[in-house]
Amino acid sequence: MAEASVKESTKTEDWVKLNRKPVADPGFDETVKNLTTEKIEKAVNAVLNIGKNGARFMAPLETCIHCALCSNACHWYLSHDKDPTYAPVAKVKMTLWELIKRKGKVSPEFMKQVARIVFCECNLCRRCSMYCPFGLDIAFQLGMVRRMCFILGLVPQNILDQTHSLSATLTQLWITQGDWIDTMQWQEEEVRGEIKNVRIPIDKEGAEVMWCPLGTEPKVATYHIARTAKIMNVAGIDWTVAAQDGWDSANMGMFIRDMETMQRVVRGIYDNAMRLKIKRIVLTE
Amino acid sequence: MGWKESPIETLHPIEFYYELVSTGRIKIARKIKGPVTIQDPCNLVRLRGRGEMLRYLVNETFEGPIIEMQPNRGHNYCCNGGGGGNAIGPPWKANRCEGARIKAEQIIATGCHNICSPCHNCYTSINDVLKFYNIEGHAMFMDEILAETMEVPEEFKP
Amino acid sequence: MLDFIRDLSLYNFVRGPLVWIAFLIFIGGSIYKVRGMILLAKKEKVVQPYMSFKLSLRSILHWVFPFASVNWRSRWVISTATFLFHVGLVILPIFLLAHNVLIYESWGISWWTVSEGFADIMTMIVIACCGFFFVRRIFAPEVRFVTFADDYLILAIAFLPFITGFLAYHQWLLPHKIMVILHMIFGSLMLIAIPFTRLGHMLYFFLTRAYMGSDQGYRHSQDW
Ligand code: HEM
Ligand code: SF4
Ligand code: SF4
Repeated sequence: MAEASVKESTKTEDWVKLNRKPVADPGFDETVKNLTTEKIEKAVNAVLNIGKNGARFMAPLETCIHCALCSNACHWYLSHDKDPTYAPVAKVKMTLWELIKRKGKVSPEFMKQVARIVFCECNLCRRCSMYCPFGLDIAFQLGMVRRMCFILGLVPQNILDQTHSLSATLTQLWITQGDWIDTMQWQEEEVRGEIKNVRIPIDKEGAEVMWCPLGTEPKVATYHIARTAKIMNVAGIDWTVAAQDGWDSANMGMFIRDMETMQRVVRGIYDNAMRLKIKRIVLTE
Repeated sequence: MGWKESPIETLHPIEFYYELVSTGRIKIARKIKGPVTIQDPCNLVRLRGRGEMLRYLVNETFEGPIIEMQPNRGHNYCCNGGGGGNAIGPPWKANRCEGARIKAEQIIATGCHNICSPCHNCYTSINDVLKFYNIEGHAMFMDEILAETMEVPEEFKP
Repeated sequence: MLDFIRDLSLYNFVRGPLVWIAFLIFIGGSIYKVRGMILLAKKEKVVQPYMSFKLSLRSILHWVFPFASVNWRSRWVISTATFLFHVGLVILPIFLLAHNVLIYESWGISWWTVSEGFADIMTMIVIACCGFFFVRRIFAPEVRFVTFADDYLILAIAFLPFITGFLAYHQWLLPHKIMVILHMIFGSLMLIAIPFTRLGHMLYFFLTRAYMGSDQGYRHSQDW
């Protein structure tokens, strides 16, 4: 059974081809058409060169004894009847080791599979690090592979879009400042029905707590805002939300290892906090 | 970033709510009925060590008992929505739920309908998993639980 | 045909310079490798500030003792095998009577030794564990999937000194002296290989655990 999902291809490139159910995602399918081996080589080596300068990247590579004791930590592995291709170390093997062995000279097809493994079959949850006898940080390694894929643009469309949105507006779902403030005021009205004189203070300087919701909250899950307003008011907290961009605590850049956007989001929040002289930040994510 | 400790204290809502409830700034007026289980989010518990705070809050707000998933706390399985798992979007939903079968089994084993999942990712993906495997139950977010159970003093009533 | 091995000069070379060289390479290489890794870690801003001696030790201790961590408990067969194997691998060479005699002859120092009967049993256990690891590599699907030729190679490097030592002690298969020479060659090979192959996990173990232990500990969590 376990063997059925692994089909060794005997063509020019002998890498493990996985027999997964195909999933159509333009982020993969379209991007891969424009990739060439040279482009991949460049991106992969750029990341490898950064990695070589750090112990967090090199130590696991040189230490892993291939014992597969990490495998039963992973929910993907357990959920697929212990299919060996879902084991954490197997994911590193099929992506990073392979890329290092070939010095990045791989076909776009191969890279697509790599992207699927690191984005869609691992949550970087670090459970495997709790089960590896050496405590190797597998999530960090797979994160580096995500970084390679991100440089190539080989990223699931949905998350790439959200990252672009963060990059452009510092919000996850293309929310403009006007919409955001409108939503807050609208929610304030709503909660007034339940709690007298509820306030959602916007941009209050010197407040004790700045609350940073997730972009989805004002967009599709406004009830979170209402509930938070309720809790904050009843507890009598001196709180506020930031009016300027940089209130969204979603950080998709972190997930796809877009370090630039990731840092800008963090900056955005801290900038707001500094501007408003906030004492504490509460991040829903 | 160049700091070891962040210059401004950042809190996860659970830490914040813990403070509110344990210092009595929020009083719990009624408790939600029925047994409850807890989805320990990776970022909050494995990577922030707040399992006990979470249990304190659940204990305060539910009649209980708390039926733990096995394994739990720092060893709990990821909900499969973290690390961008949800954000990769709708096309991958089935793939994601298949990868979370172990989570479904965990939930079934507890037999609970109330699943406290105090993380946006867990909340979404637990609900997806429940639907995918036709399990009765619902994920509950902590602000939902608090808003429902907390005491609203007279002066706040409209 | 085996005459040249019987020749005393080879025996003397192996017993003297080769073992010396092996030890020097082992110690030098180990220092070089560990130093290199620590330097690499220092380059990374996010590693050093979080390192904590107490948290590191906590993590290491939970993983060097059998059944002290969740994963060791959940796989008791492998845990037992690994611990017997490694205890034999590390302890036995140091406390073996025959090794002690050699050191005593050279330097005039010696220390506590284990009895020959016990050493014999431990050797057999180590050999059996090698067999177990070998079988596991072949038959456990998740292990086979990540197995390469060099995994068998390092297993062999660990295995050969023990099997030859065992055979030499019992004077089986080959004449005693030849076996002893082989044993010393393989022993040296193992020492040399430790810093330069993944057998280096012996050194890095403490570093990687220290990192993960400190990191998880800093996050008010644990890693066992
Ligand atoms: C004191 C230092 C050492 C520590 C803490 C250590 C730790 C470990 C651990 C945790 C494993 C993985 C567990 C497993 O595969 O069952 C392992 C495997 C292994 N170790 Fe060590 N080790 C040490 C020294 C050595 C030495 C000196 C050698 C041999 C020269 C060695 C040879 C091996 C081999 C061959 C395996 C692989 C077993 C397999 O094929 O799965 N170890 N070690
Ligand atoms: S970090 Fe990835 S590989 Fe490791 S247990 Fe989590 S999902 Fe599995
Ligand atoms: S448990 Fe650790 S050493 Fe073993 S295969 Fe997994 S990552 Fe490698």
